[in-house]
Amino acid sequence: MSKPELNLKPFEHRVRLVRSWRGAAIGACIGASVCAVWAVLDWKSIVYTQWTWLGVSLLSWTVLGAIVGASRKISPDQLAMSVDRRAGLEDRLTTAQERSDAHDAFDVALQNDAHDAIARVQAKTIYPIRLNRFHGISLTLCVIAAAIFMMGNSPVILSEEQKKARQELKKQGQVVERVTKENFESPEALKEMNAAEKRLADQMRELRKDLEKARMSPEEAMQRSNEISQKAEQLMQQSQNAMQQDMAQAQTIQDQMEKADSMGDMSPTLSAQLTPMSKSDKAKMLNEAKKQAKQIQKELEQLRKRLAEILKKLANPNLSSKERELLEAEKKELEKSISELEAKQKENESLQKALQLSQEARDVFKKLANDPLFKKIANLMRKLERDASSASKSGKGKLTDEERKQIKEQLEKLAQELKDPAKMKAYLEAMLKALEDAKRLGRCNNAMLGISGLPSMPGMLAPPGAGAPSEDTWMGDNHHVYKLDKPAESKGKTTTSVISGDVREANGPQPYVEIKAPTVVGNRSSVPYSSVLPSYSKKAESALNRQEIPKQHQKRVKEYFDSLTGAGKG
Amino acid sequence: MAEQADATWFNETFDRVRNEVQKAIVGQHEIVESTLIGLAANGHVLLEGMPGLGKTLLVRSLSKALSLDFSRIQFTPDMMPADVTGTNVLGEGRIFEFRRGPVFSHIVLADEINRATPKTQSAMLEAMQERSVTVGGKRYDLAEPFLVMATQNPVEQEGTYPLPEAQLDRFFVKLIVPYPTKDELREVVTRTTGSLDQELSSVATRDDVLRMRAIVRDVPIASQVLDYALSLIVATHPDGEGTSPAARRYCRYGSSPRGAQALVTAGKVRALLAGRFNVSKDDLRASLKPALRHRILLNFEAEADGITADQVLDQVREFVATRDRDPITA
Repeated sequence: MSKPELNLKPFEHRVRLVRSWRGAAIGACIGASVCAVWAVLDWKSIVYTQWTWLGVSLLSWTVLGAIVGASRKISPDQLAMSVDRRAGLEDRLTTAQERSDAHDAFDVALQNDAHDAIARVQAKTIYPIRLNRFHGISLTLCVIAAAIFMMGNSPVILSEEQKKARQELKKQGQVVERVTKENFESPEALKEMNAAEKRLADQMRELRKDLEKARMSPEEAMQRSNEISQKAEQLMQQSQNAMQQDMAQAQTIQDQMEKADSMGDMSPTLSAQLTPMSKSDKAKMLNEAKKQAKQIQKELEQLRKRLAEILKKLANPNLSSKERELLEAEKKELEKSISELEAKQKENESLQKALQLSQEARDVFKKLANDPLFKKIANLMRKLERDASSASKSGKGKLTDEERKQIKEQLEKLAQELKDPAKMKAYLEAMLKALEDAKRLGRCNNAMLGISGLPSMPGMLAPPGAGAPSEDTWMGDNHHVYKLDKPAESKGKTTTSVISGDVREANGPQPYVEIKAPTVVGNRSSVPYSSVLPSYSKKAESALNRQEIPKQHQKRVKEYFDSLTGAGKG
Repeated sequence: MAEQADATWFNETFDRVRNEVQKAIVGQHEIVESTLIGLAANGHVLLEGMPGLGKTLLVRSLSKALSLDFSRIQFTPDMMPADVTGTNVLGEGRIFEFRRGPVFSHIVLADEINRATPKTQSAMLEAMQERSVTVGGKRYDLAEPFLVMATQNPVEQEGTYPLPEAQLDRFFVKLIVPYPTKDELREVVTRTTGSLDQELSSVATRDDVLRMRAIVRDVPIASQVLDYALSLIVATHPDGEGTSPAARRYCRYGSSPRGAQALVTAGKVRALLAGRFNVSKDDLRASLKPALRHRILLNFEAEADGITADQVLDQVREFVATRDRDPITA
C-alpha cells in the first residue's frame, strides 16, 4: 500500500496570514508607542508633528509588522505539531511527518490515518483571525497617543487667556505663511533666491510652523520675529547696496556708449560739424577725406624728396654764399610746407576715424534709442532708482512686483534683440542685475515688514500691513496697545535707568526698568529694550515718512522715540 | 510487520478479554483496562486497595478469560522465599529435585504482598525482572507470558512491610482500586449473595497474549512525543534540569528509566486501543499516574502536607504542559 503525501500548504498559507495579522498588531503597538512619544514631544514643543505624520508612522509600523509576521519561517515539523494541537489530531501529523520516509510497522496505516485526519480539518477553523491582546494594546496606545496629541493641539484644556494668545499666534502664523508664500515660495523666487534668502525663508517657515502650532509664548514669538526681521533688514540693505552698484555700473556703460557716440577725441568743432550731418553725407565726406589723405601723402613725398635734394646741395662746400642763402630759404619753405601737410594729414586721419567710429556707435545707439522698449526701460530705470533711494529712506519699495516682472521681461526681450554689441549686452546685463537686486530688496523688505508687524506685544509697535492692526487702530487706539495686567516678576539682576519723554501725561523724567531676557514671568517682553530700540525707532521713522501715522499722533510718536533714543544714549 | 489488520485484531481481542473480565468484576473499568494494558505491555501490575474490593477476583477472572496458568500466593509475615520460588527437595532416588514454587505460572497473584517480609518480597525480584528463578545455583526460566499481579493493602496498616523501591520499580503500573459506587456495590452484593454464579470462559490464548505484546512494540512514537514523555520523567526528579517545582519540593526520589519505559509502552497500548497508529501525548498523560505513582518517593514535607504521589504527578503534568506550547504561536 502506498503512503499518501501530507499536504500542509493550506495550513502554511493560513498561518502566514494569521501571523501577518498578529504582526500587524505588534507593529501597530510599536507604531502607536512611537506616536504617543511623538505626541508628548509635540505637546512639549520639542518636535512638532501632525495628524498625517502620526497616521503615516502608525501605518508604516503596522505594515512592517505584517510583512515581518508573514515572512517568518515555518518549518513543516512545527506546522504539523501545531495542526495536531489545534485540531486535536493526537499527534498523528507529527508522527506521520516524522516517519514519512520510514517503512516500518504501521507506517502506511499511520500515513493513511494522518491523511484522513487532515482532510477533515479546515485551516481557517484552527487558525482563526481574531483580535488578540496586541490589537487591544495597540488600540489603547493609539487612543493615548491621540489624546496626548489632542491635549497639545486643542484648546479644550486652556484658559480663556491662553486660548486668546493661541488664536493670536495662529493668526500671526497665517500672516507669516502669506508673507513667505508671496515672497519666497513662488517658482520665480525659488529660482532666483540666493543662500541668505533661502536661510531667511527657512527661518520664516519654521516660525510659521511654530506660530501655527501656537505652542510658544508671545514673548518667544516676538523675539523670533524680531530676529528674522533684523535679518531681513540686513539682507535688504545688502541688496540695496548691490543694486546701487549695479545701477552705477549700468550708468557708466551708458556713459561710455554716449561718449563713443560723441566721437571720442574729435575736436568740438568737428563734432559740431558732424553731428547734424546725415549718414550719406558722412559717407561722402569719408571718401573725400580718404582721397584728400592720398593727395596729402603724395604732396608730402614730393616735398620730402625736394627737401632731401636741397639738403644734399647744402652739403657741398663749394657753394657760394648767395647760392647757399637761396637754398636755405627754400629749405625753410619746404619744411614749413611739410609740417603743414603733416598737420593736415593728421587732421584727415582723425576725421576718418571719427567718421568711422560715429557710424558704428551711432548705428547701435540710434537703434537702441529709437527702440520703444528702451524708452520704456529708461523710464522704469528712473523709477527703479527712485525705488532704491526710497527704500533706503523709508524701508519700503515703491515698485510693485508686477512692474518688476514687466521690466525684467522687457529687458530680456531687448537683450535678445540687441545682443551683438558687447557694450550693449553688458549694459543690459547690469540693468538686469539691478532689477534682480531690486527684487531681492523687495522680497527682504516685504519679509521684514511682514514679520516685524507680527506680535502685538507691549512696547512693540506694529506698522500697518500684514498681520498688524489696521491703520485706524494702530498707535492711535490705546485699547489695542497691550498693557501689563500685573507687575512682572524679575528673576535676574535688574538695572534702573531714567528716560525722558511723554509716556505719561506729566512731563519730565520717568523711571523705567530694563530687564535682561529671559527674566520675566508674565505677559511682558523678554527682549531688552535697548536691543530693539534702534529698529523700532527706524520703523517709526519710516512710518512717519510714509505718512502712515495719523497726523494727530505723529508728533507724539516722534517725541517718544527721541526721548527713548536720548535715554538710551544717556 | 504489524499492519492495520493487526491493530484491529488487537482491539478486538482486548475488548473480548475486557468484556469477559467485566462479567465478574462490577465497575472498576479503569482498573480492568489498566490491568489488561499491563498484560499487553508485558508488565506486572500492583493493585492497592482495601480488602474486599475485588482485587483477587480480578486476577482470577483474568486468568480464566485468558486460559493461562494461574497461581495465588498469599503472603504472610512468616513466609519464606522458597515458598514463592520453590525449593530443592530430596527425592525418592535420594536426589535433590527442584520443586517449583507458585511463581512458575503465567499469572501469579501475589496477594497482600506487603504482608511478607522484605526477604520474601525480594524473592520476587528476579522472577519479575529476569523472568527466571535461580535456586541452588540453577536457573529456571519462567514461561511466557509471565505476569505478576500483586495486591497490597495501604502501607499504613499494622503488620505490613512496605515494598522496597527496587521492587516497586519492577511493577509496570500501580493501580489504586477505589471503592465501588453505590450502584456497583448493589450489583456486587446482588451477584455474590444470590444463587447465580457467573461462569467465565476463555476468550484468548497464551499465543494471543504474546502476539498482542508484539503488536504493541510496533506502534511508532514521534520524537517530540517521546521528548514529552522524557520531560514528564525528568520533571519528577527533585533536582536537575527540567525538574518541576512540585518534585523539587515534595520528592525524595524521582522516577527511574523504567518509569519512562512503562509510560511509553502504556501509551502505545492506549494508542492502539484508541484506534491510532501513533502514541499521542494524551496517551502518555493517561498513563502517567499508573506508571509513575509508585516510582516517585515522597519526602517528609509531602507527608506532612498530606500530598500524595498522584497530586505531585498532577502538578508535574501541568508543569510540563505549560512548557509544551504551540510551536507556531499565531
